[in-house]
Amino acid sequence: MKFEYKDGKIDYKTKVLKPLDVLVLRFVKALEFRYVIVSGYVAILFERSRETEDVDIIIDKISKEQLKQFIEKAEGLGFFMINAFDVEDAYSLLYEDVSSLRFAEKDEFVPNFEIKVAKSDMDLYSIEHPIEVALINGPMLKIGPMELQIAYKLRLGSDKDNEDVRHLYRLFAKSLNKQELKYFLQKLDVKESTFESVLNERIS
Amino acid sequence: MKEFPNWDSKKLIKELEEEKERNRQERLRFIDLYVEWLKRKSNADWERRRKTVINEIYRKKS
Repeated sequence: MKFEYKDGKIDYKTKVLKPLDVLVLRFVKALEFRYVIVSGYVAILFERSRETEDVDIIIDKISKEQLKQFIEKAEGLGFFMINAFDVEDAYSLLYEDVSSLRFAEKDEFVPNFEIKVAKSDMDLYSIEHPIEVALINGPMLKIGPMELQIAYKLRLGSDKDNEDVRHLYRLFAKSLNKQELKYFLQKLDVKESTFESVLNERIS
Repeated sequence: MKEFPNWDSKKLIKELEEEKERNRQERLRFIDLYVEWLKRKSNADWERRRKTVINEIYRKKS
């Protein structure tokens, strides 16, 4: 695989799109506001050999009218809401329950898109510092900052998260801002021993 | 030199732990919903029951 990560952009036009990538590219057409894709799909986008049942997306805080337009657009693209039955219900799920809204392709349940409104400092930072990934013949995908995702997954610490971290770190090690990664690790209270045990190296 | 966000570590970790718990609950509710969908004989049957099932699973806090 060949890609270039520089100045907040990843040129990955050599990527051979898989069915999940095509689905993601179709879904993000409905997102006419700021968003970032985070977590497992980021590793999968960069060829991590595993499947996922959901693609996590953080979106900006949007109005009910914007939410209505988004739902209509997603439905027009062939998706439906799994866990809400109308705009009011979706709005209440996102803002009152502080939960996530899920979309899947019509007549399917998995994979699905799990939408959350940016709430925490980390979410807001991710939205404000997206990495743009350029794929061939497709619109740009926006993913969360790599350094923060690595620190966040190390903090979560499941086997799956650690393996994703190892994959992403090995791929992007040369391009990562180590000072920034160190800062996020410290803020999330990720121990040096955790970093070393997952990555077999010390954070320099 | 890039400016790093001025985060309060304690607040950040508290937010993260709360989010982890919300995610755990959400995944469990999603599994319930998925199983209900799998049990339906057809998509038409699912459409008829969808609102009730969503209300049962998502409005009844677990």
